[in-house]
Amino acid sequence: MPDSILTLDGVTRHFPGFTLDRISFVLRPGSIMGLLGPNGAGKTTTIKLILNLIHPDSGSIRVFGLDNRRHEIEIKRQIGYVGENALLPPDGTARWLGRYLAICFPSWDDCLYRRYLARFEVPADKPARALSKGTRTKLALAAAMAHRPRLLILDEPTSGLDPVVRHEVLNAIREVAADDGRSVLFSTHIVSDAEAAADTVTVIRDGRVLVSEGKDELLSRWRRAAGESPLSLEQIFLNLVGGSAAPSVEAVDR
Amino acid sequence: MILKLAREELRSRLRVLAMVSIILFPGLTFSLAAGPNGYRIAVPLTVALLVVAYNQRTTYDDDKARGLPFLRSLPISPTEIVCVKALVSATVTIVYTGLALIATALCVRFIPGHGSPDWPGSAVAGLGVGLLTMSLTHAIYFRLDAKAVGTLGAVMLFAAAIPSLAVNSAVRDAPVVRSLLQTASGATNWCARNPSAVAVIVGATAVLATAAGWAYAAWALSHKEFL
Repeated sequence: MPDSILTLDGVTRHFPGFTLDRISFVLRPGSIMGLLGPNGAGKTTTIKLILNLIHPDSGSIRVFGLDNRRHEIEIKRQIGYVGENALLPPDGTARWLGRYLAICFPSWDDCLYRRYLARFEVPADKPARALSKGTRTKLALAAAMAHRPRLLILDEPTSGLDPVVRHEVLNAIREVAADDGRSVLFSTHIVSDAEAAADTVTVIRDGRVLVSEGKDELLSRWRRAAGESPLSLEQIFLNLVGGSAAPSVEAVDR
Repeated sequence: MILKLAREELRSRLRVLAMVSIILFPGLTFSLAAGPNGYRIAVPLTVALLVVAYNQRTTYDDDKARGLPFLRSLPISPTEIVCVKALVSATVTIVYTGLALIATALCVRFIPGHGSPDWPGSAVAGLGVGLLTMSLTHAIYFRLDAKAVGTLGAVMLFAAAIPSLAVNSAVRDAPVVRSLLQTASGATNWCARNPSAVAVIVGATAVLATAAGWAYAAWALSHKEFL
């Protein structure tokens, strides 16, 4: 097993008015990484780069030790992805989606898929356009997990969901990582979600990685700098992205 | 895998396929209004309208649901996606051509006086027009987006309307238009004298254009970025 599931090394992509600048981080096997950042920080762009939906100007992206462009199909067979708006065909029902994905993924487990649908209370025969946002997200999550991916990538999976559904989604994320060393990368701007589910945190702002390390190390480093006061991840995040008056980044770095 | 995916995609499009079939009636009405030999163009005209409407609806739905990023996030290559789309398009065109033939046959029986269609020629023309429209629409959709498909449809309708409006107005007496009409008339006469040559030229051009459309669609999709 490689010592990293996902490695981004100096990934850069220029857009008019925005640059994703030398993004680098490593996701270890069995780890849950929260990709944190304010709106427009570059989280979705980073995920699209990993999935080869956008191409970098420079830098390299390796998934399972393989180049993400040269081995795209091989890599995608082992990835589960839930997009920002839970992308699903409007007339596709959960049953139809299961049949479709079973053709695409050799490791598709239909029993597992049906178990997830039952657990998330997703109706099997209702078209996606008739489902609520929360139910669509749960359907997308069930579909993304049913082929037992080695890496689950979720783009803002809890955004706009009610607390009950959010709790279900976060539980599912934790279960995936607990199951046989699978890894999860999820982007969010809701810090409490990262605090609840992630063991590694990467904070990104204006297209740059500000910090990427284990959540516990990050918390203890900042708490030392703040004189052991009970700093939360949210306070640290606000400080990093420039919205709070806890200890300064420079003080922590020292 | 391509066959199975095409079957599933077709299943998910059944509602649109049925909904768009309503356009059979305006299609036939247009061809009857075209003159005493309206039935000669009934099938290709109706298939063209059906296919354009089907494409507008499906590309709009796809765009709204971000269907292409969904497909590109799956372990399917762009070439496989285009092959699936081409198979679905061929099936839809065959279904619509069949429907157009049946509807025209019923019209010929109950509303006589508009000539008689050349049935094999109508079927081939319907299939050709449908397949060509499908491939060009997908090439545009994969290169640009659903809005471009809609705009192109409107531009084509407008462009098609210009000659018929010009011929039926005072503009037809202008020297340029008269010269164009004479050239068109000469070409029509040549076509009437050489039907097999015309069939070969039109057929080969349609096949090449259709193949080129799908090849371009595959190229465009493999280079497309989903920002």
